[in-house]
Amino acid sequence: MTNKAEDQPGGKIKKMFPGRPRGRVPKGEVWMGTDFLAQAGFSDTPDNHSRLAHELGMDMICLPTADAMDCKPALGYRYFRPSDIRTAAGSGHHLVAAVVDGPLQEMVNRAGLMETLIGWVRDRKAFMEAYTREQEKILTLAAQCLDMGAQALVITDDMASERGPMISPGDIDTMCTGFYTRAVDMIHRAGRHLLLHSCGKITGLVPLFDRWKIDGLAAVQHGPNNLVDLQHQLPDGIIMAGIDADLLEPESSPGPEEDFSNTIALLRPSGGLILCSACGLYKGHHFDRIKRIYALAEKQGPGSA
Amino acid sequence: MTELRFDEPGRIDTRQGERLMELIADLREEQALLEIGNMLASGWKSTDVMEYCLQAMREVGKRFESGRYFISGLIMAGELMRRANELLKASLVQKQPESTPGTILLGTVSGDIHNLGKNLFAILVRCEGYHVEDLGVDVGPERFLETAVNIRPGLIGLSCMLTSALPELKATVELLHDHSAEHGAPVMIGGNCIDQHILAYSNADYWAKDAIQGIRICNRVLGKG
Repeated sequence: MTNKAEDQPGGKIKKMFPGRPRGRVPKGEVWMGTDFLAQAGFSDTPDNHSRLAHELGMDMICLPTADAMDCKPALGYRYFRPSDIRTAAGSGHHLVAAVVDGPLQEMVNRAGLMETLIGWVRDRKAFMEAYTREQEKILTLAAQCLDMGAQALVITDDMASERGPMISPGDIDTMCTGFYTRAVDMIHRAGRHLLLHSCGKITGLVPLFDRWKIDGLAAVQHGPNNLVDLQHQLPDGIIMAGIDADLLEPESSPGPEEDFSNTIALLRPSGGLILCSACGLYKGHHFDRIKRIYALAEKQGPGSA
Repeated sequence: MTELRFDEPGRIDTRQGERLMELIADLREEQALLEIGNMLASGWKSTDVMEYCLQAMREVGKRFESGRYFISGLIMAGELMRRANELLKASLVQKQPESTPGTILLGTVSGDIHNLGKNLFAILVRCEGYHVEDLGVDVGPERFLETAVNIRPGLIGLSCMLTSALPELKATVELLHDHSAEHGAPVMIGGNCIDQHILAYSNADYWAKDAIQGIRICNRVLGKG
């Protein structure tokens, strides 16, 4: 811990959203899918991401970004070019973050999860050569995104399942530390922020994330992790989360909504919360649900956020 | 992968079985396969070698449950067993008719595309000797029923990770139960969102919190354990 303003609770959020009215929880989504935009009457363009974010009262927009689309899975959202970041940033209404697949994620995109994990156990030298090739491409892409005006990067790298890390934390250290320390250094030198997304239960990896000096976590699940515990583990970090998948379903019972309100009430005082779903907004019916969820969050009162 | 070279035929050394178990449990792939080749060359029966392989896989499962191994280790062990099976298969077919404790029909229900847990379960039950008919992900109720009627499995496993797919899970169980006279198989459900409450909601016969528990249920239902 230091005495720098950014290292105080909520300092990073204040730096990211300098003009934001005090008391409102900042909001954003890592993934907004094509059907979700269509439900709101928009086609899936960078301009329309800005428009829809504005309509929903979001404070940031995130654009999944890639320089090659050949191995990207079809998951209901599109990838944009780095130049689209400039278009979105030009609207000036929101903080714009580029969402970039990390090296492990890229290897999984290409070879599949099972083959990738077998490759790690079977031949680490060959694996690390392939990983290094991916990391160099991703660092180049990240630099392009920064040049185009991205104020934050969300790196998506699924390292865990619901049970915990898919490989041991020691192995993730060996595999990923070189990439993340370089990425953090580059992004921090540009005065921007790096958030990390991984599915699954990541609590066992938080000491590593802390050592890499990432600024926070994005689209992480409350269910397997408990966001309040995660925040205690990363007291100066940003937690971009709070909305688990079951809350987005139209027949959501009062239980999940009560849990959500209680969790938000516990997370708000730290000032490090950006309200976000853990899974992305893909389906048309998410449009009505997210408005309802935002209204629930605003009922909480100002807090310290 | 390196080319495997086996010893010349010789005397059976019972310590080889213990050594093979240790090599598989430690995920030393090439050495384990070399050991299997050497055992076969020394006159070991394939079925005896396979028994040591299965004991080793149970040890891998224990290491996974205790947190010593992660999912990568479990997947690697499955891959090792796949290669071991290839080595043993020809000999098994020659010496005795292939027997299996049963067939398991498997798939992720409609509306859900997650497959990690399902695939892990498939690897492990194959290692136990079961035949697995895996329909993949996003499988509708009718396809489950049609396949079940055709192959008459000993157990049907439905995987579901997303709460949003629970209505599909329930509909699939209902359809399978309505036609149980045509296939005769009980239904087990598993996945991240599955618990005792979802078992009651879906009216399935069994639920498993993970792949290891799923194997125990298979062995119990199909009379192997």
